[in-house]
Amino acid sequence: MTRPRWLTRFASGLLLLPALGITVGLFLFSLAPTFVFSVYKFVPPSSMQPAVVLDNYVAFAHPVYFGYILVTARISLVATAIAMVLGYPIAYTIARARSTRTRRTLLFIVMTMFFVHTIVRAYAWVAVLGRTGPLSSLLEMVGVGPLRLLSNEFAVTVGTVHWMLPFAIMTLIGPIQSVDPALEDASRNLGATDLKTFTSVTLPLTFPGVAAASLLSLTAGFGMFVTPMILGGGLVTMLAKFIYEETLFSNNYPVGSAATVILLALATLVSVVVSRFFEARTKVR
Amino acid sequence: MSIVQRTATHRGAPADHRGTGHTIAAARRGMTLADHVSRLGTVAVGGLRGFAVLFLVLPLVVAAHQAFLPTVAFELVPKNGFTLRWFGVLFHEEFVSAVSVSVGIAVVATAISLVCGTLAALALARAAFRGREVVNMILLSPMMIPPVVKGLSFALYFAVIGLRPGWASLFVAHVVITLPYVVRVVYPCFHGLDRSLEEASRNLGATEIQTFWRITFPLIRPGVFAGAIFSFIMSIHDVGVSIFLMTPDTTNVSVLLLTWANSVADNTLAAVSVALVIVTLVVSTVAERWVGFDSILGGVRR
Repeated sequence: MTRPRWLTRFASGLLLLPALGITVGLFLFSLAPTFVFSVYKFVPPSSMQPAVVLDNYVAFAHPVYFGYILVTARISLVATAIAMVLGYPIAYTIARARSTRTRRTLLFIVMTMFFVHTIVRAYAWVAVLGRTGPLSSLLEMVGVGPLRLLSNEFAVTVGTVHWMLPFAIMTLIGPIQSVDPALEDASRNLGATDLKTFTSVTLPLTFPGVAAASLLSLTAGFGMFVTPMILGGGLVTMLAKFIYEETLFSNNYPVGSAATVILLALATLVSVVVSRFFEARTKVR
Repeated sequence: MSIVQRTATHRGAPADHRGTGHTIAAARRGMTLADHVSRLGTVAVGGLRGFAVLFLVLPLVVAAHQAFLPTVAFELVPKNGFTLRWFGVLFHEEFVSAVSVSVGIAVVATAISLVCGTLAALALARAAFRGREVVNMILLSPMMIPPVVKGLSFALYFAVIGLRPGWASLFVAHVVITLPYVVRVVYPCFHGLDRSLEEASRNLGATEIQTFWRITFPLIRPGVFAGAIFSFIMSIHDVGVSIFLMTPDTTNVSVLLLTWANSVADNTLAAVSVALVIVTLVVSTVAERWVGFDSILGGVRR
């Protein structure tokens, strides 16, 4: 192919133009007003005044508002940890199954769950955890008194785990697959038990993958919106829900924008850690 | 090297090598405490896996069962018999119009994203230029940002540039949120493509355009199809962005269901869930047959 270089470069620029134009012009630029409005002054009941004040950020030092950040971080951390513990065995089986049927069945379940609408998945937990639901009746039959299983942090955490799980499994399959099975076989042939092989060969080798998958789940968890809305019953406020209510209901766009910047900062922080992590990993190899 | 080869052939053997290896090792040393612990560990992992699968699937089964119950209260076999009346909502005007809004936006957004995203993936996979990593990061960035952040930012930005809430702003926003999924799913297909096939076509006298349509495109078609499915589903699933940009006549099915989830206390949502799960199963089955989930996964897990 003896095309001049500038032509190749021009052609690839032309191919990139629409996608890059859309992403930069409509997405990256769209973040600017949010940053600007986050330092504006809120004029009750529903307007704002151009200014450079930090009041909207300082508001988050207040225990109630700071609590929203804490709840958000806590739910995504706990849910991520549980999702890793539950997801790893499934991902391992998909990556290593000797029977194609097992592999295909599990993969089908995971992908289908990923495709099922978020609201349907959250509602399914309303049906399970509801006051007249099967779990409540089961617990009462065993003699565990009427418990409130819905509209609390527990319900939101369970829903978040359910939401994260297919994604976590999908991201874990790759790292597990890339571990050479010969290493595990060698460990077993040398007399290590399956458990020993797992804890001292497989797990350490897949650890970077686990860390990456959990950080991705964590970022997604920070932005959870539908699940806390449906399972939290108005009593569990995560940042995304707070932003939605503060702007569309209270018309307090400055504080809503500040919360958005804080959420963005949290998510970006985690993403930067992820990419650093990947860089470090590729350098080692 | 020889160990690797030996274990490799060992793996190919039809017998369950893991089991035999284990018994041989155990027989040599007698059953030690470590073996018991290991066996317990294996059982525990198996249990955990079973629990995880049930945890994923069972809630949907409960919701589906709920759709046929006459009241909200859970009954394994209802005293007054099962009912189909909750499914009437599927023909409700409000629901039908919300579904058509969702599908309309998803189809248009997917069509635009698919064209722009495939071209971008082609450029990213083929051309070696400086800043390729940066371009890749920019193109994927909307995926990393929480939906509500995108929603509020779109609402404020569109107000500044004079784009009113409604159809136009929803189309634009949905193109932005679906585009990265197309790039991410289609890119590996171009990357793994055997270029010698294209060279052969060119050497036999085909033009570059002919080569693309006759050779390249058929080869990447599974990836493009997977990208279309992802894009479509992400658009249908969206709540956080749409809720900031919709008007009463552009209420989509996600926003409608969210409103119902917070206000309706009967089995309506269960009936809708059954319908949506059935649609999802059809999509999944078609995707599995046509592309295979392995190739979809190849695009997701990078």
